[in-house]
Formats: sequence, C-alpha cells, structure tokens
Amino acid sequence: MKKLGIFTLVLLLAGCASASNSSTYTISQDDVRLISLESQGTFSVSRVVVLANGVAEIMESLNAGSILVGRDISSTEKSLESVPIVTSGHQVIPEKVLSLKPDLVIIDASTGPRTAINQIRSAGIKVIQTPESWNLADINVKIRAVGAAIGASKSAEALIAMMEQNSSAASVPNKPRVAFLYLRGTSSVYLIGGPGSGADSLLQSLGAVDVGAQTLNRPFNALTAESLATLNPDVILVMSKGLESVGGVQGLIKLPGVAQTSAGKNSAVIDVDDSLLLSFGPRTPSLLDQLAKALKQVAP
Amino acid sequence: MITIDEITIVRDGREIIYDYSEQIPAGSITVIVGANGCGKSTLLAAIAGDIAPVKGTITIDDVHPILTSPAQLAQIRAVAIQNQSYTLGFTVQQVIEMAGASVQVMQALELTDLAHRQVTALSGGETARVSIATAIAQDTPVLLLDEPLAAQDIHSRKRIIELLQKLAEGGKTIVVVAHSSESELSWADKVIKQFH
Amino acid sequence: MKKTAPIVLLIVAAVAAMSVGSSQVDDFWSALLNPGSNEIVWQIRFPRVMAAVIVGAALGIAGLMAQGACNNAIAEPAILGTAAGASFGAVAGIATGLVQVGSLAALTFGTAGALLATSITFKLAALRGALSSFNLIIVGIAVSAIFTSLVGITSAVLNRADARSISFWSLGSLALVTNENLLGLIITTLAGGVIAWFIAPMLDRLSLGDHSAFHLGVNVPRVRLLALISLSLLAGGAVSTVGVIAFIGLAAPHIARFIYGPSHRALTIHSAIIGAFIVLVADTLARTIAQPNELPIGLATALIGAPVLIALVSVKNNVWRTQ
Repeated sequence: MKKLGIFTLVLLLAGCASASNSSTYTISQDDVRLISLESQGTFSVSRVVVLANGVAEIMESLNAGSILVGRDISSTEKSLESVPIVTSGHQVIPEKVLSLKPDLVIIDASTGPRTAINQIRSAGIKVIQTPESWNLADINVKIRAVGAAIGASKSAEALIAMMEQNSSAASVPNKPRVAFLYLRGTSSVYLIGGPGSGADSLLQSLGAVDVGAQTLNRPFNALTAESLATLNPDVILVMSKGLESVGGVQGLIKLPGVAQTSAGKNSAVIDVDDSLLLSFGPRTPSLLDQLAKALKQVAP
Repeated sequence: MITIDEITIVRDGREIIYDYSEQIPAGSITVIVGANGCGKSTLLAAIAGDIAPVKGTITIDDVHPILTSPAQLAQIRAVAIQNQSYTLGFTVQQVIEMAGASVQVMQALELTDLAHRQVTALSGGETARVSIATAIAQDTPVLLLDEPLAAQDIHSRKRIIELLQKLAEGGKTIVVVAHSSESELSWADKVIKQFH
Repeated sequence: MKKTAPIVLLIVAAVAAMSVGSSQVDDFWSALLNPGSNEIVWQIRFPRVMAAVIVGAALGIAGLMAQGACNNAIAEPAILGTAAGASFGAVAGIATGLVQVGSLAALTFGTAGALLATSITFKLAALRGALSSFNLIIVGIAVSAIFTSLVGITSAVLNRADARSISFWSLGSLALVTNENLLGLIITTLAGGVIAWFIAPMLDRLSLGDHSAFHLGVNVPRVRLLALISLSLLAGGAVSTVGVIAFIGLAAPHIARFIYGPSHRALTIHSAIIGAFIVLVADTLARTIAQPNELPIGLATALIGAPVLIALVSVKNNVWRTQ
C-alpha cells in the first residue's frame, strides 16, 4: 500500500515538473522573416507611393522595393527607413505626395482624408485601391491585386506559390485554449478578441482554440474580470505594446481576472510585435511557425 | 490673586495698554469699565493668556498664563467671551458638560428647561447665558467674563449678579468687563476705569 | 437598535455585494462559508468588497476630521487639497520607479503627498491671521487644482504603464484591487481612525470656536495638526489605492451628524459605517448596472450621495448653525 502511495507521489511530482515549464514567449519583428522572390521582375510603373497598410511589405516581397518612393506612417519595416513618409499621422498630405512625382499611388479603404485622395487624382496621378487583408484567406487576394497594380502579376503568382511551399504545416497538439486580449493600460474591463478579430484566423489554422471567437459575437468584446476568470484560458495572446502598458507579464498576471486563469497562474503569455500580429501578408507564414513554437512552449 | 506688573500691550501696531499695574484680589468681583475700543477686552484677554504683553508680566497666583499649557491653564481660569457662537448643534447640557458638572449651574442660571435644546437654536441672551454657565461649570479659582450682562433682561441680570456674588464669597477671583453705559455697578467690589 | 442597525446593514450589504457579479457562481453560500474556496468570490469579489468598505470608512472619517478641524460644513478631503495631494504623492512615487500602485510604499507616498498638500492649504489660509473657514476653502480649492494638474502632467510625461490613467486618479476605481492591497489599507485606516477617536472630544470643543476651545484647555494648533495627520493617513491610503472617490468625505459625516448628533466620538464610528455603506452600494451598482462595462465609482457615489445631501439640507435641523 505504501509503495503504491510513493509511486503515485512520484508520478504526480513528475507531472507537476513538466507542467511548470510554461513561460512567456515574445515574438518580435526580428523573429519573423519575409518570404520574398529572389529575381528582379519588370514593372509597369517606376515611382510608387504606398498609402495602404501592408502593401509596401508585399512590394518588398515582389522585389519591387526599388520603385517605392513614398510611404505612410504604418509601414514600419526597418528596410523602409530611407523611404520618405508622406502622411501627418494617418492623414495624407497631397503636396508631399505630389512632390515625389509618382506615377502610381496605392491606397486602401482606410486611407484618408478622401479630399486629399481626390486632390491627388485631379493632379492626374493614377490611384489604385487594393483590398485589405483581415485574415489568412485575404492574403492571396491582396498580393494579386498589388501585383496587378504594378504590372507584375506573374511575380505575384510566383510569390503566392512560394508562400504556399513555405506554408507552415505548423500545428499544435492538445487544442490549447487561447484568449486574445487587446490591452491599453490597466482599466476596469478587458477587451477580448472574438470572431473576426484576425487572431482567430491565425489560432484556428494552428489547431488552437480562440476562446473569444468560440463564445462571443463581435470582433472585440468588453469582458469583466469575473468573466475572464470564468472563461479561464490556458494561454493569453497580446500585442507587445499592450503588454507593456500594463506593466509587462508581471503586471498582467497580477490583475484581478487574469490572476485567476490558468494562463495567469502559469504565466502563459505570448506577446507579438504590434505591427506583426494582424498584418496578414508575406510574413504571416513565418509568424504562424513562431506562434506554433510559442504555443508548444507556454502550453505543453 | 491676579498680579499685573507694568504691562504694555500692543494690538494692530497701537499701544492699547501702557505701563499698567494692578492687583486683583481673590474672593471679590472686579469690574473693568470703559467705552468701545478702549482695550478692556484686550486686558481681559491678556489675563486669560490669549495674548502676551510686550512688556511686563501678568501672574495668576504666581502662575504665568503665557507660559502655561492650555490644559493646565484651564484648571486655573475660565473665560466667558463676548459674542460666543456655536457652529454645531450640541445641546445646552452637552456644551456645559464640556467644562464640568452642569446641573447646578443650569439651575442657577435658569437654563434647566433649555437643557436639551440645541445651542444653535438659542436667542442671543440664552447663548450668552450658556457661555457664562460653561465658564462657571469649569469651576476654576479665577473667572473672567466679557460683558456678561449685555444681552440680558433685568431678571437675568439679577440672577447672574447674585450668582457671581455667591461665587466671590466662596473665594473665587471674578473679573468682569462692562460697557461704560453700565450705570449700576454697586455689586462690584472694585471698579477699574483707567488702565492706560 | 439605532446603534446596531447600521453595522448589521453593512454586513448584509457586504454579503449581498459578494453574491452578485458578471459571472454565475454555483452554490454561493457554501463558497461564502469556505474562505478561499471559490476564486471568483474570494479573489475577485472579496478584495473589492472589503476595499469598498475600508475606503468608504476611511473617507467618512477623513471628512469628519476635515469638518472638525476647519469648523466648517463644506470641508472635505477633496476641498482641502488632501485628495489631490495623495494622488500626486502616489504618482510621484511611481515616477521614481520605486513604487508600485497598491503597495505599502505607494501608501506612504500617498500619505506624504496628502500631508504636504493639506499643510500648504493650512499654512496659506492662516497667512493673514486667524484660520478662517472662508480662507481654508478658497485656498484649498486652489491647492487642489494645482496638485490635480501636477498629477495630470506627471501622468502624461511619465508614460509608465502602471501609473494608471488620469481618469483612474480623478474618478476612482476599485476594479484593480487585490487581496494584497488590503493590508496597507487597513493599516492607514486604523491609524487614522485611532487618532480621530483620540482627538474626538477636543474637536467637540473646537466647535465652540478657537478661543473658547483654548479656554477649555484644548491645544488648538496641536489638535488641528493631529486632525491633519489623521486626514492625511485616511485619505492618503485610500486615494493611493483606488484613486479619488468624490463626495464620501462630504456626505458621510453630514448624514451621520443628522442621525446621531454632533458628538465626534460617536461620529467617528458612524461616519465610517455610513461611508462604507455608500461606497459599497455605489461600487456594486457601478459594476452590475451596465455589464460588462463599469461606471466610474466617483460618478456612482456622486449620484447616490448628492440627492441624500440635498434632502438633508431641505429638512430643518439645527445640527449646523444656519447662516
């Protein structure tokens, strides 16, 4: 009887030991690589100003960086540092755009103000609007649209094929339950991602469960501490700046609500660079790889 | 006994009292009389220890009020100021009991019926009587009263004077400040008219 | 009956508060009788309810100290600059990087800030002779404004995540309280409360006026200083933990005085209980009325306290001298 007891105890301790390997995981821009074509293609335009989210990145992947002459403030990749910014905050400044003498301006549905865009059009410059990408399925559509805009449709198809090749067969076992929290300083309610937040697309493709998408209705939902505790995710996914705004992992796991979840108790937190997580594009396959690694580490 | 020794008191830059000396005996009623602004209340305040003379000393039975702690001073002298006003609605009895036993003094000053009335709901004359009663309840050897008769009717004046006389007979040193319009001062043992 | 009813009411309210929330708790009663058993009840609701009670009590007594020391009916920690000073102290402490919100260090900085602001108010108000209540209020409002803007500037410049937002400091919130915060809160509240209890009889005498209080043996400057210290401990501890919760310091002592009379000994207890009750009810409403969102607690207390105060004023009662 005693032997059985000791045996069980050892088993339990062994179990505890492996469970306590959970730790936090940070995914920064440097951890993720851009899938891009190696050969230079030909383009139908030579001076492009990009005012659409994520399009500069696609152009880089298409090896079209040389024809990029202007960008907006949200294109933050280090490789674009030398390309001038033509927006004031998120507002387009027509004079700055025109002074670069572009032959193409690429915008998307969120580019504004509309009057600035109209001014650019009336100056005789070609303006093409490309679709935005909010989930995995949108990526190829966007790449094709950008390819068409700069006269590099063949390259676009080549890029898509390359991405498919490098596509992560990544997946995680054990269906970890993940909550995507949008944090902006400490406040009395939590904002949790639901269906359509974008994170759900990433998590589901890895075989993880996005608990917000499972139980709630809108892309973003307010949640009290109690509700979060009841939801009890195994892992919390956040953006890096947001995590900083609550005092890092130490600060996050102390908050009422988070502290009572499995994720909080095991410090199972994954933070991803803000410009990376929800910008669906040529870096996404690499991001998925990293996420799979992260999930396996924090929620074995 | 209160001994005043060559005091000079300055207020608002003016010398109100100048080189004044006096002895006020125990077991008696001394009245300080004067017109408005002559400094009689200032003199009382100096005796009470509220203000310090710039020159000279005041002692009450060899104790310097200025050098004594408030708690100790309260065992030696009690004061009924002019224009006492009450912010909070304690009852008459509660206020008097902040100083000492209330029953007898309330009887003597005909405040017993008002014992449970809030002091914020009293008339001017009643308020003054409560102020006097509080000082008396403190049961100190020295009693200082600033114009205690001002707001009183003839009947109350008589009762207050009788009470003061009784207390003086019992050995207390009583100093009263009165306005010069007070013509009837026969109840005083000593009257001070000049102190400049 | 009059004496025990409030405590009983408070306990009932506290239990009721622990039983409601945005989640369903199965079998609340067994959870309640087994401390620590249910996490939602014991780690989320319990610290919040306890904090509401302790903060409410602290602010109630603080208001009493303010009103007693100033001998004025509209004095309260917010008006004297105490609350703003406490926020500033806490934020300044966080700015040095040494302090985390809710820690004992934060409480110390908060109390120091409260003490600083209130003494500035008192010093400035007494500049031209006697400490008149008029001066106290005017100077207090000015000092309060200065320290509040300092809080705003420091928060904006700081850019530190755990400094909490400006709306936390000015409107208050109990959402972030954990069990660890409770110890410090209890210490400052007890310390301030003990001082209040001790000086209560002297404050009774102070209501007769500075001169008359002196004549009765009260060391007036010392009593004011002790009231100041008590006020700073009480408000400092509360504000550093949950931000500024308006109105309690003003309303609780007034309501208590209306029911129980002006004696400060009794009022120390009753202002505490009434303050605790108001904050508890306000916070429970704030977190249940608009789920899953929360009303800022400062708004809820104003919504509850203001009508009560107005009702009090309209009933003739001589507990304060009418002008």
